[in-house]
This record gives sequence, C-alpha cells and structure tokens, in this order.
Amino acid sequence: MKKNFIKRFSTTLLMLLAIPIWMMSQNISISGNVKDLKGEVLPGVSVLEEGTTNGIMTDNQGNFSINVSSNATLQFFYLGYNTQRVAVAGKQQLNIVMSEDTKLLEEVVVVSYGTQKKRDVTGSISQVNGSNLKDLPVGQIGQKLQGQVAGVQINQYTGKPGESPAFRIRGAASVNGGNSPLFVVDGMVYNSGLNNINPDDIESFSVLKDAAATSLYGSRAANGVILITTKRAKAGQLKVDLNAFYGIQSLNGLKRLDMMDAREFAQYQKETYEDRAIYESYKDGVPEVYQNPEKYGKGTDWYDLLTRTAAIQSYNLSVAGGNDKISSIVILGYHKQEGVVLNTEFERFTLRANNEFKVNDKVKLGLNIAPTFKINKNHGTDGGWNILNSAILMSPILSPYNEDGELNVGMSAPNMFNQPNWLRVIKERTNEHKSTAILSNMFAEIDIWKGIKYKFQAGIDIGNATHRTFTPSTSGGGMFVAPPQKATADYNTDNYYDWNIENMLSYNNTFGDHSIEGLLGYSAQKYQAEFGRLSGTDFPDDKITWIQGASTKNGNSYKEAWAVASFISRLNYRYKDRYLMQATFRRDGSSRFGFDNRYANFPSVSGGWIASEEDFMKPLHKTMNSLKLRASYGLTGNYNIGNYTYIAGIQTVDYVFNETLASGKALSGLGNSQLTWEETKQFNVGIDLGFFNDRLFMMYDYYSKRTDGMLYRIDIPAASGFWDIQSNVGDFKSWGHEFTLQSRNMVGDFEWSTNLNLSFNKNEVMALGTNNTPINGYNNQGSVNRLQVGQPIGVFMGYVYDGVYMTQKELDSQPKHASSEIGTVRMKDLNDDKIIDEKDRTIIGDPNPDFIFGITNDFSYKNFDLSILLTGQVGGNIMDGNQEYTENLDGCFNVLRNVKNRWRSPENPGNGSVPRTKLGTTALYRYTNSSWVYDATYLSVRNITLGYNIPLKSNAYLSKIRLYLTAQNLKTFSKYPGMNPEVSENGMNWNGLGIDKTTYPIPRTFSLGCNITF
Amino acid sequence: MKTYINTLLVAATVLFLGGCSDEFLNIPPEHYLSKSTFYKTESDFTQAVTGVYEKTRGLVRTEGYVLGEMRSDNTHYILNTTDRGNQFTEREDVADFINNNQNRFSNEMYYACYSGISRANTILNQIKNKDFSEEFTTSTIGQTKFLRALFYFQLVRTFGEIPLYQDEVTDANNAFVPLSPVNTIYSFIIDDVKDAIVKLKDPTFPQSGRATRGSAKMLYAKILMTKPDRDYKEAKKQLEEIMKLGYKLEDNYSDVFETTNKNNKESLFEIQFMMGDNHGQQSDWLYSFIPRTVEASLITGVSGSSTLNTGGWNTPTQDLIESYDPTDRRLQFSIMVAAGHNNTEGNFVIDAVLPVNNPAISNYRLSYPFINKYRHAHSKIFNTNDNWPIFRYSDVLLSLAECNLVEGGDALTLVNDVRARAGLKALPKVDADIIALERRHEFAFENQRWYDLVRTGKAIEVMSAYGIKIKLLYPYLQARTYNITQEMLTFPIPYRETQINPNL
Repeated sequence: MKKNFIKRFSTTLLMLLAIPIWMMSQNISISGNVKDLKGEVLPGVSVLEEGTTNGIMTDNQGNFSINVSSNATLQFFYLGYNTQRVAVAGKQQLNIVMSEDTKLLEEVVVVSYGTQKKRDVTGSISQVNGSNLKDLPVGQIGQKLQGQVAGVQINQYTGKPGESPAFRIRGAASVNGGNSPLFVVDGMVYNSGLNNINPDDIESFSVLKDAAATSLYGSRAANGVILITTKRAKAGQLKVDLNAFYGIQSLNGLKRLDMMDAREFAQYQKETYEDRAIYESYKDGVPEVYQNPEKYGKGTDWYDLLTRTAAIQSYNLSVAGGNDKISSIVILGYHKQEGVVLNTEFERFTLRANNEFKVNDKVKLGLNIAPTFKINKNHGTDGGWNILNSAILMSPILSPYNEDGELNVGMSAPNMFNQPNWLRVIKERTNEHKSTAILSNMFAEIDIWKGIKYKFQAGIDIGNATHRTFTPSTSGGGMFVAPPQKATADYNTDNYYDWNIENMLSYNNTFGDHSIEGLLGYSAQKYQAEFGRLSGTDFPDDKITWIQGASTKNGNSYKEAWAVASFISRLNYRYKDRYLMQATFRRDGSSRFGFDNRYANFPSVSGGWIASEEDFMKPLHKTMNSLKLRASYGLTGNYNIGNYTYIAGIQTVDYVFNETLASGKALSGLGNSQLTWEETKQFNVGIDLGFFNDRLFMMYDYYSKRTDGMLYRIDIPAASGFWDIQSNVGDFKSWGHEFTLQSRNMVGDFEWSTNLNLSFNKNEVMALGTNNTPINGYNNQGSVNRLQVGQPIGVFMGYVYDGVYMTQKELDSQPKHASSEIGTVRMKDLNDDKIIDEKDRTIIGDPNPDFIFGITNDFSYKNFDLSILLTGQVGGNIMDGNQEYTENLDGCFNVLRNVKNRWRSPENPGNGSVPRTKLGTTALYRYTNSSWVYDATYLSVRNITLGYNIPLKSNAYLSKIRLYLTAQNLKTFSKYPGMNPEVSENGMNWNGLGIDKTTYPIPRTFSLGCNITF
Repeated sequence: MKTYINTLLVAATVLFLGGCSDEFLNIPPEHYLSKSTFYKTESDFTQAVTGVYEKTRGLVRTEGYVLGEMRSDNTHYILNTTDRGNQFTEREDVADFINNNQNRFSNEMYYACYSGISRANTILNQIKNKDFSEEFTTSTIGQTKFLRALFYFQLVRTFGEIPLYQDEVTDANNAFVPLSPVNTIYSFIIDDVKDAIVKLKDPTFPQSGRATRGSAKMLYAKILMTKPDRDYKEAKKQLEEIMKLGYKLEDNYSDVFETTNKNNKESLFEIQFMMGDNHGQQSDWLYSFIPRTVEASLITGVSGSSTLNTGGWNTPTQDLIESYDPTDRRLQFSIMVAAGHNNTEGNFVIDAVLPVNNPAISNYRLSYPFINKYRHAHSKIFNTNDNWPIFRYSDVLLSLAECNLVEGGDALTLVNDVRARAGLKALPKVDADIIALERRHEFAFENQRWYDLVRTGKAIEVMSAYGIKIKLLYPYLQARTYNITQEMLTFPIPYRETQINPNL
C-alpha cells in the first residue's frame, strides 16, 4: 500500500512541471468593471453565469469580459463582499459596485478536516489572516502571531536567529515535555517545525482551542491545534506581488545588566584581598593587577564586543493566476537575518507552488509542493556559563587583544577561572546547521452523488539536515578550561520521512429547516528518522576543519519511528440555521504506547444557538445584530512521550576482562506496558456578540480543562536501580477566560479599528504519582521549578532572603545556618527550629502570569495607514538565575554594581543587602533565594508600522505600490532588571519556566518595506 | 449519541483498525535491545554479568576516595579559593565533617551501589527456570551474588541502616522499600557471600579480573570483621583458607600497582580499567590527585596536562607522611612532591617532581605532595591504564594478624612479612595499634583508611585529634569543622530518597 502510494504520489508530482494553460471559449460577449464602494477596482472577483459552470474572474484592473446567453443572470462573488446578481438583459457593458460584507459571522473559517461558516462554528476557534501579519519584520511565524490571538501565549525566550518562539494554547495542559500545539499544514499534521515555512506562504491561521474544535485530532490535540492554510490562487488574471523589507536590528538603548566596569571591579577585588588578610590570615598581598584600581577606566565591555548591529531582510515574489479549470500560485521567498551576536545568522530559501485542477464538474485535484532550504549559524550562546553569560561575567580589566592587537587565546586573572577568549570563541567556532525539507500535499475530491463527496488527501514531508561544528584549538574549552585545547569537530546528519494519508467521505444536505453534514474518514501517518553522528578529535592543527583531518574518529547511527492510525467522524446538524449541534469522534492507535493500551477514543459534543435569529431578538438588531451562544465538551489526548518509552531498553555498559574489552549490558529504565495517552477533558462556553452591524464584535470564552493520567516520568527511589518511570500519573487542571474585541471605531476617510485580546490562564496540579510527592525543586541550587499538588506548575522553590546579619548581636540572637557568621546572608527560618537549612525552603515565586494581552490599533487616512501592536503580561514572576553568578562573592566573576554595598566590617556594613566575601560563608548566598525573584509584568510596544500607498494612475504595469516603515520591539516597559521579560530556560516547559540564565538578546528592529502589485 | 459512538466504534475497528494496523503500529526500536528480547541466552547473561562488574567502578571513582581517604587523616585537599562550586566544596565538606544529606559524593556512592544491586537482582530473577548448563548457571549466580554482597557491604558500612532490595524492581509498586536494621542487612549479605564462595571457582593465574572464591572469602572475612557482632573466629578460618589458594606477595611493593602487572598473584579482586580511544574504559583519577596546575606533564608525561579544573584532591597530609618510617619503600612509592612557583595569574607551575623529604624541595617557593601510586605511563590526558585494588594478599595477612590477636595464633610473622617487603626491619611484637598503622601505610590511598578507623572504633579519637592539628594549620577552616560525633561515622541517606520514599 505504501509503495503504491509513493508511486502515485510521484506521478502526481510530475504534473507540477506541466505549465498550466489558461483556456478561453464561448459566444455572445459582455464586458464590464467591478469596483468597491470607495471606487477601488476589485481584481479576482468571480463572475458566473447563473445555472452554468461558465465563469471568469476580473483582471487586475477589475475588468471582465465574458460570453453568455443574452437572457443570462450574472453572479458576482468576492470573499468578504456581498454577492450580487445582475440580469444581463441585453446589455453589453456592466459596471458593478460591490459592498463589503461586514458581518464577521459570515466569514469562512478553516476547521479540522474542512471549513465552516463562522456562524456555524460551535467550538472555540480564532482565525488570523496572513495578510494582517505581513508587515512585521521578523522571520518566524511565532513572532508574527505574538499578541494576535486570545488564549495563545507566545514567548520569545531567546532571540537566536531562526529559533521559533514557544507556543502555548490555553496555558499548559500537561507537565511533560510537550506543551506545544499541534501544527497542521494544509491538512497534514506537521512534525518538522514551523521554521520550514515561509510566513508569506500563509493565507490563514486557525487556532483551535476547545475540545469541539480540536478533538478530531485526538491523541495529539490536548495542547490545542493550529491549522495553517497556505495561499491559493483565485481564478482571474495573472497577479504578481512583490513584498520585501530590509531592516536594521540593534541592541542600542535596550536594557543591560548593571555590571561593574574595570575600575570598580579592581576595587572590589582589592578589597576582597584586603578583607581576606584581615579575616582569613591571608598573607600574599593584593595581586598586582588589582593594586591600583585608579589606573583603569571602563575597561572591556565583553557583551558589547560580542554583539553588533545587524541586518534583516526578506523578499517574496508571488505569481498567481488561473481560470475556472486551473489555478496556480507560485511563491518564491528569501529571508536572511544576521544575528546581533557575532557569527550568528539565519537564512531561508523557500519555494511553494499550490495548484488546483478542476478535471470536470465532479472531480477536483490539488497539488502543493514546497521545498525549503535553511542555513543557520548559531553558537552556544544561551544558558549559564555559555558564551553570552560568560562574557557578562568576564573581568572587564582583561582585553581580548594582546599588545600586537591579536586575539588572545586563554584568559586568566588572579582569583578568576581560566577560560577562553569569548570574542575569539564566537568568531572562530564553526556551528552550522543546513537543512532541506520538501513538503508536498495532494488531494482529490470527487463529488459522488447528491451531496456525497469523497476526498483523498496525502502528504509527504521529507527532510535532511546536517549539523557541522569545528572548534579550533584556540577557542576550545569553556568556563574553567582555557584553550589551547584539542580541536574537535562534529558532523551530524538527520534525515526524516513523514507521510500521511487520509480517506474521507462527506455528506452535506439540507432538508427544509434541517441541515446535515457528516464526515467519515480514516487516516494513517508514519514518521521515520535516521540519525548519523560523527565526531573527530586529535587534529594535527587547526587548518583542516573536517573530520577527514582528525586522527581520532568516532561514529554512531540510530533510527526513530512512530505511527498513528485513526478513524475520524463528525456529524453536524443545524435546525432553522440557528440551532447548531456537532458531535465528533476519533479513535487513535499509536505505536508510542504499551501493547495493553494502544488505542483510545476521543469524542466531543458541542452546540450553538444563534439567539439573534429568534423573532424576539429581531427588535434589538439595530444595536445588537448578532448573539451566539456556544458550549462544548470533549476529550483530547497527549502523546508526547518519546517513541519507545513503554519499552524497558537495554543499554551498553562495557567492562574489561583479561585486558580486553568485554561487552556488557544492563537495563536502562523500567518499561511500562500499561502506558497510554494523557486524557484531557475540556469544557468550554462562549458567547459571540455583534453590535451595530458587527462594527463592534466581541467574543468571550470560559474553559476548564482537566488532564488525567498525566504522562510523566515520576521519580522513584534511585535505590531501586532506576531514577524514574514513565507513568500515567497525576491530574492537572487549568481554566481560564478569553476575551476578544474587534471594533471599527471610526469609518470613512479616517478609519480606526481596534483589536484587543485578553487571556487569563490558570492552572493547578491536582495529584502526583501515588503519594503526591512533589516533583523537582529539591536542591539548593539548580532544580528550581517544582510541581506540587495545590500549586500552579513550575513554582520556584528556594530560601526566603532576609538581608544580612549586620551586627554580632543580630547573629547571636537570630536563627543561623551552619555557615553563618557576622556579615553573612540571613535566610528566613520558616519552621522556627532556629536552624536555617533545606527545611526552610519554600515556594518563592510563580512563573505563571495572571493574564496576557495584545492590542492592535489600525488607522488609515487616505493613502496612509498606521498600525500599533502592544503586547504584554500582568503578574507572574521571573527568577534572575544569573544572580547566582552576578552576585557571587568569591571574586571569580564580574559582579553587579550592587555588590559595592556588601558587608565588610561592623564599621563598614554596607546597605544590608549584600553579605561579606569571607571564604566558607558565601555559598548560602548562592543558593536559590527570593532576592532573585522579580515581577514579570511587562508592556511591549511590539510593532509600529506606518504605510503609504503611492497613488498610481491606472496603467497596465503597476497596480499598487505601498511603502512602509516599521519599528519592531520598540520599547519594553518592565520592572525586571534583566534583558528579556519573556525569558525562560527551556522553552516554555515547566522545568525552567521563568528562569533567566542569559539568553540571546531580542533586538529592536527598524525596517523599510514595500508591497508592489504588478 | 452513545449508540452512534458504539456503532462507529465497531465500524472503525472492523473496517480500519483491524489486524493490519496492529502491525502498522508495532514499531520496536531498531537501535537497541529491549528487556522482552534480552535475558534469553547464555550470551545475554554473560553480558548482563559484565554489566554488574561495570558498576563496581562506581566504588572507586571520586566518591570512593572522598569517602574512603579524604574523610580520614590520610588526605586533605588543596584549597581552591576561586572555584567555590558545590561540585568541589562538597568534597571539602566530607573531609571537614560538615557534609549533609545533599552531598553529591556520599549520594553518588549510594546510587552507584544500588544501581549495581539492581543489575544483580535482575539477573538473579531472570535466570530462574532458564535451560542453561549447570556450570554456566552456577558461575553466573556466584559472580552476581559476590557483586551484590560487595555493593551491600559498601552500603551498610557507609550508610548504616538502608533499604534492602532483595528482588528485581519491575514497576513502581515494588520500588518503595523501607529501611532494614543493620543486622538484617548483614545476614542477607552473608547469605549471598556464602553462596558465592560455594559457586565460585578457585583462582587460576594469570587472573582475568573476574571474582573468584578467593575474592568471596576475603569479602566474607571483611564482613565478619566489620559487622556489629564481630566473628573473628570464622574470619580467621576464611583467611587461612585463602592462604591455600596460591596467592603470594609481589616482591616489590610498586609491582603490585604496575599497569603491566594487572590482576597479579597478590590480587584477590581489583576494578578493571583500560586506556584507549573511544571505548571509555580508561581510568583518570591521577589527574584529580595532581595539584591544580597549568601543566602537569612533569608528572603525567603527557603534554597539555592542565589540571586547573580537576586537580588538588586527595592530597596526602603531613600527618600521614610523618607517620611513615622514612626508609619505608611504600612512602617513597606512594607519595611524591610537586615543587614550583605561582605565575602572575596565581596558578601553580611545577618545576620539579621530587621524593618526599628531599632537601631540594626547600629550593622552591611552593610544594605539594601528591599520590604517586597510580602514576603510570600513558599517552593521552585523562586516559590512564590503572586498575584500582579492592582486596590484596597483604590484606589477607594483616587481617589474619588482627584475627589472631583476638583468637590466638601467630600475628607477628604475618605483619613482619608485610613489613619485610617494604624494606622495614622485623618487629619484636605486635598489637592492634601497630597493625592499624601498618594497614595505614600498606593500603594508603586504596580507600581503606576511613573504614578501618570506623571498624576499629578509633575514628572519633583519631579524627578529633587530627582536626585540632589541621584547624591550626589551615585558618580557613571554620569553627564548625571537625566536631566529630557518633552520627558522623556513617553518611546520611540522600535527601532525594528521603523525600521521594515515604518508607524511609
């Protein structure tokens, strides 16, 4: 079956190469022009002779010409406009003015396995059109969607070029690694990352939030689903669009850590040695470099040296056209972002061709193909003691250059760690990802009989990626280990092959007041990936950077695969177009689960009532023109546990006998044949309200989710020989409110519209494991986030900071840690046992925000348009994990200016916030504590775009030129002293949530762009 | 609604998700084995037993010397004032008696031993009802039980009361085991080791590195001399039987540790390592024992030997050096001195490697003694070829001397035999203190000292006196250090375990 499929598929692929031929025919001629109310021409309007299949589209100037019978009636369709019917009645010229259909409920939205009129939707779905996002000068889809949709949290936790931000729909549904929504591209569940998709290819995003909307995706839907629909050509004349922008990204004027400069740092070191002589019998004097702080100025700003102002640019050319038989769009895209950190870069080449063929009045075929090639250069910039963090902590006295102006190799200074020259590291190391992916989809739709349709859909995503690194001897090592080190090289290859097929039978019919839509289908998907790992070391020198040059070589290869087979069905019933009912059902089987629990069912039911259609509401229509109530309940699942977790694997643990290698084996974990999906039950109620003919439109949703049988590796006593076991344990609930408001505040010459969305997501851990033992958060350092019953996920654990023992009297009379002395840090003795120890650790922060929001204001006046996007969050905490280092008192790192205020003696006790530097007493101040916790509330002026449409005289070559200026990430207002209030250590996974260990900075971008239509 | 779903369900199962999808969905890993396909053949079990041996390395890595030597008066550390990271300070905490239950070194020892026990338990469970040759089954069970006893013995003498995992853990239900009294643990260990003695074979020379009846008897003797109710009589019997198995002292003390002379005739059991590329079987502790220096090639013989990030641990104390007779060959072999100066960044530079007590040492600004016992030729940094001795024949002699002091018999000859090899003159008589000192020198840096101090009941007395001395020597030691109490004779069960397992 697979083989056949591939064969058929590749044959179809070949058809792409056939150049579509536009066909023309017919007899009696009528021509005309179509405009909107403002007098702008409307290209691409469908013109159809009623009762026939004879039709055409208006050209770029809105003109049409069609041969019809003289008594025909012409229908004019245009998406978002009211359809018009005009009798020809012998006329030869028709000038049509079409009015916009402002009723938002009439929009068509993409839903799982199909489309629906917005008014018929009973679930919670938000749709965003790609065209609304086109001005944002960023390369990632996630960056574009930030702040656009209620219920969707998108955090740019790192600014690495090419890195997709973290997504969460309706908060976390789960505590295991997978909280990212499911992405479905043109009907295919997409597993290889949004980064492969050119944002300019996208027609619309449908964000599916509640169970009614998502449960047709069954075992993969618990985190919500985002359906991505790529652009289709509309029948009509050829349309050529060029969209381009060029921008400059910079960190100038953005928030930075308040670190000491060279003079201050030398002073701090000098004093540390002086105190050491006083308190620790230290006898060797102050090292020479620290003896005269006055001789230093600002010194080296390492962070500045490693960062730069960099360009970002993007070009997209699309060619679209077609007639009633064939339509085709080809989009060519190029995007390049130089990183604001040296030697980092992301470059993407994309091509997409989407084609539709009407074979006859019964059969429609579609074929999309989208190859992508990416080059991504990124280094180990993020995280503690990695490049950027180390640069912040590096002595400002040291210079990256020697007297000859050449880059130093290793860096060392008295009392500091030996380490590489970080400037050299970022410049010299090679770290390059290259990947090619081809996503292809096809469908065949057959209109069988009286509303019964059959659709076959298939998709294939193949890809290949290589990751090459080379670290020359002069930039090896890391914090603690200075080069020269042996040069090392890696060459890793991944290739994957992911296919999906669907067979669907649908039925759609109306009997008087009753409308029925039904869907039955079967789908199967299989993902296979192969990995090659090569590494080499013992290079004779740094000249050859490929493994060929290595004397010691090492290799490995392995494979991963999974498969899902599903049955799907949906039934929609409408009565009098105002009572809506939907039931969906999916049965999934997955290779990832234990033999005993491989299949599960995911049903949902939902209903809607368009109350405004009732007679008793009609009198209100002048003010409130629409009122719809929705409710849904259903089950979804989460299968993000890795491919073979149910299996107890065997690992290789070799040993030596007789001085030769002996092959050894041992269990690598405990298997669990009972392992199955997490099950999330979700209840949703919503209300949609339209006022003043939908000039003001509001949507409100309340949801409540409960996840049972949560997949997690629960900790078990390591004395069992195993650290944990993957289990379906634990319950988790989340609930929240979403509010969307779309308002056209002013219409006419000066237009102003506002789009506001607010999301309140709350969650609570209800049960964990067999005895509710909290997960994580046990250690004094690291391991900060915790799961604990009764708490939201990922709360911070630590000591409660309580200042410094300023006097001997304070020390003598107050609870103490084993290491406490006068002038050392005081943590709170929470259990009142007079001893400060790990029993006094408690919850000191919560990374979950109270609510997040996005506000877009669009203005237009004549040829000008202006758009302002604000995003932000209120509540929640960030932990500045850097403070473990930036307030380290051992003298081994550069520190925050605040460290000047430390305790030095009873006469010179500082401001009571920073303890002393005495050896043996400093560790407690490095333990996770509440002085690192900050309010995460922020408001970001995310984007401002000012556009201008150059007025053009009607001509045959150019129909539109719009130029625009944007500022991205213009300003962020936040009390957090760190650089990025959206920071997290590990995406948006609970473990690391809200913890700042230094990540790649998010630049401010100014750009200039244009949209040109030919 | 329900009927609708049920109908669809039946339709779905019959039409689509029937037989073919079971096959479609059955995707076992191709690149590693799973439990359901392993533990079938003799070859599988041979590899599984090798896997248990592999865990014995956990006894002798960092946690081995931190607990066995740095805790004692044999070794200390060179203070690292720059890097106060926990991965380092927690070693100091063990040495200075201020460790707690979050100490990664005591915790790692706990985890390593239990991991080995788990591997052993799996074998002992899986081998039941297998149709293997009797010889194979006997040998497999014998080795496995010896190793399980070795791990449990290390646990009970290090932690005291511990949970007793007797069977394979297959799911979370049997993973939460309560503490057992020390005596219960010992009787379980003794059952294992007795069975191992029956099932293992006598050693044949040259040895392979596998456990033999000699290894098991020595372990049994150690257990008998350590458990709360000592049984010197049975220990004496076991040790005397070992003397009939063909073991001999090597002529030179240094030959015992020579990497060209592994598993020699003096060896009853040692942990195997092998240098080389890519197979990960090498040892590397030499690089921890060297002082922190930019270049240690004078010691290692390999250029590029920076120990700035690894060195300065398990440093022989002056107390130990002074306790040797200066002519003791074991002193000259076990300890040497790195002499040199600090560079402008404050990093130590080695200018010469000299024997202890060499007057030339005073010509250098700085000098640090270091463990020389495991310094052997190798070609790559952090890739040495040394095995770690667990039981040696000299231990048989000195242990038997100890038993004979209690049970009657000739202790003097045994001690003098060991001394003779060290180039020391014969003593006229021995007592328990003399044997203890002899053990300190004979087994220096073999992770025996702390356990000998505890076993002989001398730990508090000796270490308290040592504490007073060392606190005078090193003013950085806070007042809270070396306040030694009875509880400090064992290490606490890891904090993680106490939090996760409510039965602890």
